[in-house]
Amino acid sequence: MPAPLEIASYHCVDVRFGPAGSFRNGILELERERLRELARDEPPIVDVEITLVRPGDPVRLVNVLDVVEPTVKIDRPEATFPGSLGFDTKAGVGRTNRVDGLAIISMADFGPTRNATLLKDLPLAVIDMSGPAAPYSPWSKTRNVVVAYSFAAGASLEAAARTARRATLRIAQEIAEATRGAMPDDSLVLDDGTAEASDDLPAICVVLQLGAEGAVYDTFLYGQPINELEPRVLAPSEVLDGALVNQAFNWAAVRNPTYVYQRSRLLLALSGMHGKTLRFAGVVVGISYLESALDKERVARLAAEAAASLGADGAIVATFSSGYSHADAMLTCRACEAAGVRTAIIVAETDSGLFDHVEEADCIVSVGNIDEPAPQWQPEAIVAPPGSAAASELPSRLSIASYVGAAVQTGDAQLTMVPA
Amino acid sequence: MKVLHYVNQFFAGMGGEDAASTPPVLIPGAVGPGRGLGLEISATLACGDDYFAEHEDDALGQLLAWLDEARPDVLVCGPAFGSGRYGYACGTLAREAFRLGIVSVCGMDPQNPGVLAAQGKAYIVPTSANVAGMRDALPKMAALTVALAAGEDPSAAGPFLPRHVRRNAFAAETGADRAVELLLAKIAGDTRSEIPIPDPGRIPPGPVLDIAAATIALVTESGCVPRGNPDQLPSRHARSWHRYAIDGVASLSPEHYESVHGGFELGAASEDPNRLVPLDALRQLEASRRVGTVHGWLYTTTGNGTPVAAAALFGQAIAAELNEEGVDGVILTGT
Repeated sequence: MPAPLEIASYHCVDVRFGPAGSFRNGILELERERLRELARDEPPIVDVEITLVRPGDPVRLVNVLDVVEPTVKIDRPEATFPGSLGFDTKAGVGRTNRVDGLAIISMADFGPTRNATLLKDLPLAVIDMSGPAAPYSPWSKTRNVVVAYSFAAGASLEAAARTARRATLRIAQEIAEATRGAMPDDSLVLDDGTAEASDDLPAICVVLQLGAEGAVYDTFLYGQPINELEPRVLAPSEVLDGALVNQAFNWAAVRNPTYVYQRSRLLLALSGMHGKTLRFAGVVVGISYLESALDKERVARLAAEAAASLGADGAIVATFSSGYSHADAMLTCRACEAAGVRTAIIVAETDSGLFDHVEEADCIVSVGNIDEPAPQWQPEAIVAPPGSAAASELPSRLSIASYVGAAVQTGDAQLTMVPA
Repeated sequence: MKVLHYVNQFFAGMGGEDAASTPPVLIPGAVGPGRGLGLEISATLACGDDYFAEHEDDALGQLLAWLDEARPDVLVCGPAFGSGRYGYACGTLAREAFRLGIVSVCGMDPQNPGVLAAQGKAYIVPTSANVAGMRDALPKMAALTVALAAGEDPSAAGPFLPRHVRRNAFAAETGADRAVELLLAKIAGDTRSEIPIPDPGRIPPGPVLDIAAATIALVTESGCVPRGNPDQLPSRHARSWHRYAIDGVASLSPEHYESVHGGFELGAASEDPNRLVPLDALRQLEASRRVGTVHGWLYTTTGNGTPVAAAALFGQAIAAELNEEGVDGVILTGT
């Protein structure tokens, strides 16, 4: 039997730059130049700026790509973010050190890359560190290491997006390395449901839909593209330990940053209830935003079959984006219910309501309306990628849709809708 | 209390169908049914139903400018009873006024397409389908108006259709925790949802047609339009549909038709628009008398990122026209 996953948490009370990376009494020191070198390691990245921001700072972060929690496999660093950075070895085994209360936030302007015209529509992605709209992004509450990339002129969008993803992971690993030898504040052991759970308890699984639509709308499983992925079962600990990495930079409120896989509230809550009020049966991952009716029906059916094979009495469907992915969530719900698996769905709403609905979807969690205007705020400073036009072209009125993670459909935020 | 009233050309006393193309006008004081409300109406906004339907952006632009200038406590619209075009104008204006922060009271038959157009942003008093219900409707609309202007609970002032209006708020628990709780409750037999479950609105299929005698219309969401896109149908988030004459057109040639849909690769569609809308095949069936007649108009829109509520609205309006024109059946092509 494999060793369970042990997640050791090191609570960060403050972060600053210093002569060497260190972690003492909750104070994390970062060696700025070393982090910049690590990030610049891979072309077409030509430069990197690193900025520290704290909750309450009067700043707005713009052009945010991804959010990553600093983690390292402390006894086997080469297994950190397996497949993406290091060896392709199974995630979710052995000890992981994580820095709690700190996030790495990557940002870039893809303007100089070859496919710039393709990106005219890449929507705004912001985090306000204070002001009335700060609560919409979960990462207004963390201390953040902001990593802003510049790319060589003429670089392909694919290469730019891929290297930014990998560089951000390298920085996340390097920062977590500072916890080596320190005493964790907290430790959690996850045994993936192998602990005894009575057959009388309802068995629950998660169906996690993933995006795979090209360079800036992608997800990676063990570092591999998932375009051809058919629904399959993952252990919760694999998802929580870096097997899934985000490279989707579209609609900010409804994209799933890497952080929500690493710290999935859904998986942690179900793990915590395992053996007490339910049996956590596992995670089914599959791609979504499928375009043909044939693909949509097949993936829904295979996801339902996988859920049934886990012995699930119930499934929670978590998704991303909107439109096609919501149609897929509805079809998955229908297929699960037909297979005898009772289903709940997590979706974000718009001013126009649901894009799709099936009769079987009678248990839906709303994570908020992304079309609702956010309260206006004038930040004292904008943290933007170097040379980005975004800072000067910010619209005066932003909607919830622009706030990173505001209506994340993995259930990691607290927004919902109530009667007006 | 400041109240503005919206009516169509007929109730403004400007004329019937002959005046339906009248652009928006601003009339001081109360007109027609406004006098029966028993409220002090500071001004009446009026617009021809056809003008509103055919120049929605222009009509709304003018009407909203007047509303924004006047900033009434309440906008009263109608009652429109069962009139589809009038009700649509009332519902649409009420919805857009809501975005300006102006609350509206409408009156119409619950089946009126204006109910969907309002998207829950208006207080709609249910009325009869015809004007005979005027006397019943006006006092109810007035009572609701008074309550809203006074900031009182409108539900105490009489019945109105469910609005389903909701707003964002932070819950005590994450969506994940709520999902687990709701799923466990559902498994235990207590099914609940945070989103009201939409009415499926399922319509039973009509009787089987005698196809050889039937008039068949072509309707599509494939964004198929005459080349050059004369009405600027958008590639996504369409807010309207259009119809184009196909009398005497044997086939949709690439020289004269194209698709502006933004949701799929257009190469094959541009080579042969008949593969979006099978007019060529339908004409052959018509010639061989296997189909009665091909209807003279092609109905088209772009179905891309279109919410169910908006699509239902398009469908209702198109179906109403097809019914009036005696169409028996429809071939609806999707992409």
